Amino acid sequence: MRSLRFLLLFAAVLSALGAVTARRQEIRLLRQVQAEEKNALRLQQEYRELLLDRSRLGSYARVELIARSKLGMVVPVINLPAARAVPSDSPAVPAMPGTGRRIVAAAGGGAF
Amino acid sequence: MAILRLRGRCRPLPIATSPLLRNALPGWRLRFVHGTLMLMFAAVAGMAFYLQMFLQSESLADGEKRSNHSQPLPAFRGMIFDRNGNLLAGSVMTRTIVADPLQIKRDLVIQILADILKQDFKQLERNLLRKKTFSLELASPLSRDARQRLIELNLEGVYPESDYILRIEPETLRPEKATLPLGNQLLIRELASLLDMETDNLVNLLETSLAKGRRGIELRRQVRESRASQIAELGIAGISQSGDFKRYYPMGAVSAHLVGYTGMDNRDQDSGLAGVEKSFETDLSGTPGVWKTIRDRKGRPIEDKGVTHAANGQDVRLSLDSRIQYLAFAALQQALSRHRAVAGSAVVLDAESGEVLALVNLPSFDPNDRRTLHGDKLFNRSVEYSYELGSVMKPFTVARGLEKGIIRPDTILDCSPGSFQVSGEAIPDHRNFRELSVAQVLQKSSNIGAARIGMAMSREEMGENLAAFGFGQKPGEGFPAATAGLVHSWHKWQALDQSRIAYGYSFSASILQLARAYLVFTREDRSLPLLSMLALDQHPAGGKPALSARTRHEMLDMLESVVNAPGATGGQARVPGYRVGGKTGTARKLINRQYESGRYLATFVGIAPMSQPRLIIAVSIDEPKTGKYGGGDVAAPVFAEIAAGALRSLGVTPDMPLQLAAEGISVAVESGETQ
Repeated sequence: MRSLRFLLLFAAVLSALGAVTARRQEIRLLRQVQAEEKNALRLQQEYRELLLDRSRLGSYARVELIARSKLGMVVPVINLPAARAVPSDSPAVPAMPGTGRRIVAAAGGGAF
Repeated sequence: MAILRLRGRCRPLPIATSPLLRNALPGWRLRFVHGTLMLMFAAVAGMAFYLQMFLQSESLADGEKRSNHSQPLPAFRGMIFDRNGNLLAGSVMTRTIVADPLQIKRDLVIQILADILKQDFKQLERNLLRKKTFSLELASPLSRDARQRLIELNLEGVYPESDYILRIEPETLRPEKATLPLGNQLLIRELASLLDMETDNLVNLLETSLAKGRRGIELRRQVRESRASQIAELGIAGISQSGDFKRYYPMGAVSAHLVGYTGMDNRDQDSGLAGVEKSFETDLSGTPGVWKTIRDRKGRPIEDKGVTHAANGQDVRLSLDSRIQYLAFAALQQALSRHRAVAGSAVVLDAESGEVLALVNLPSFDPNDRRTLHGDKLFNRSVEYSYELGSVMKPFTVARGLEKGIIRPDTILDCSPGSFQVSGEAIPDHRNFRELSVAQVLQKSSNIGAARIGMAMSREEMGENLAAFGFGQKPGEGFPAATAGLVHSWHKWQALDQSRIAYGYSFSASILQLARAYLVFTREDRSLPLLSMLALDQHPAGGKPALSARTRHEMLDMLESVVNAPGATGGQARVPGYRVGGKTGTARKLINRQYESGRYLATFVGIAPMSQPRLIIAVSIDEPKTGKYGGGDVAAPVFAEIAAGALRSLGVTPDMPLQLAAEGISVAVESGETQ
């Protein structure tokens, strides 16, 4: 009977200690999770700022400005009048007057 | 009988005979203590009853305020990317910098006072806060310079009792009344610099607010975190920060009309007000969360009371290609400047999928700068503005004529004597073309030729034709405020309407609708899909074909001839190395039901390359003022510039062998051989 009492007392103390430890653990983990949440937010923020910086630094307007003003670059000019098209595989429709058929009146009631 | 039991061998002793109780207390003392205790208990019980019954909600709220804490979890608005993953819009957390001028000045004065008197700042501040007159013992007598500085501060409530002792009356000493030129303070100058403000402006703002007794002045909103940290490091008392978000648009004015912009809604959250920001508001907007905890006295969380996680908005990947967008913007800007035009628009579509690769309007605005968000420049012309398109509509009339078998590309039409009477009204050509083939009607852009073809059809056929090419319908989804144009029912058309519709008058459409209509010529299945603002994984179905394959090929050939044939109107649309086609249009502006002389809309719609169409580009320039106003002169070169750059950036193989006549070198581009 006496040993049972001790056993119960020991179990009660152990249980109380367990409850306290669990509580402490819970608080510690809660703080940890909140800190990680904050860290995740900071990383998200950093990622977005880096994306924005990359877009800003690589924007075509900025690249063109630097290319023109600092590097003295110009867009190459191809002189079209100096280039003439060679007839391609799929030529344009020949459109010389008199080579086609003439329609005097067409379906639909309209006159040409 | 109560018996006092003692341990051991002692026998029990009756309580009445206990020596401890031999000297009994006077009865009144017992009653007094008893009564007092009862009264106190009654007071406590009464107070508890009062709190429970009458102040329950206040007490609860007060208790919760002390221990319960709700930590807001911010949600980012979704980002907008182009088809290649380039960022077009993104949000970052920013800070609002708030100033309390009174506290700033008080703190600065105390700092200076501590410096003059060689005292610890915190100690001096504590003493002043106690508001009791105190004597300050100095380690050494005040120097002449220190006395001078003290005089300059013009502080009341500081009295020298001796060389070593100063009497200070905090009630009289009012630091905010001190003469202190804020502009001379290094911290204020640094603050102004970090806020991108002139020091004088900042000082004026602080002084004015101080004079008016205003506290909590917003100095600047949406300051980047890195800059806000620098401001916090200055350690100026009276400068506080609160969190908010800022939306950034790295392409600025280049993609402003397409991407749109946001504004604060009634929940103080960013919400889309225009463009993609508005049409994809549901996807982009996030939902903030909250984390409820119970905190201890030191503010540390000790119990989790539940969390609602924040949900960031979804990112949106648009069909837009920012390289082509920039090319279109730059080309259009140059054209507007060259022709002193009032406005312009350009639309670039994927010729097979109908994805919008670029959409530019000028004048534009910078969505990063809210001060520019007003006036006509917000108007998304290419989507919202419909007008009589003019000759760019002729290909649709011709296509229907071919489809119906009324004409063939080589059919000759009599266009003499340069004017055609319909219902007593003259339809003019800009000169007497005499006889033109159907292909030449497009090449020379003959109104009479197009009108004759249109008149050869029934009104119903013409009406069906417009519908088949998407006129009178919304061009796609995701375009806020997109116009469907104005197309009257064919039942109401008169003969004159029918003839005018054939060459692009008597109805209106936007250039987005116009570009979409050309998809029928470029898509293999000749169908007309809805346009898409989102990048698509597969080509959309467009319903039943609007044309036969033969008509499509004939039309492509004729459109190419508009650019390449001698004397054709679209010569300036040629792109070195590529076969391109298109149609010019020059429409007079209709203002108050009158066609204004000298006010034109120059349009060009083109396809590139013709061997396997990849792009449809529509360009519209409003009121060119340098003498040239035709679509071929004003809009076609813009098309050429956009097409050349876009085809290069997309890596499209040139499909036109070039012969460089000047150098006598023939370059077979397709085979890569040089002869």
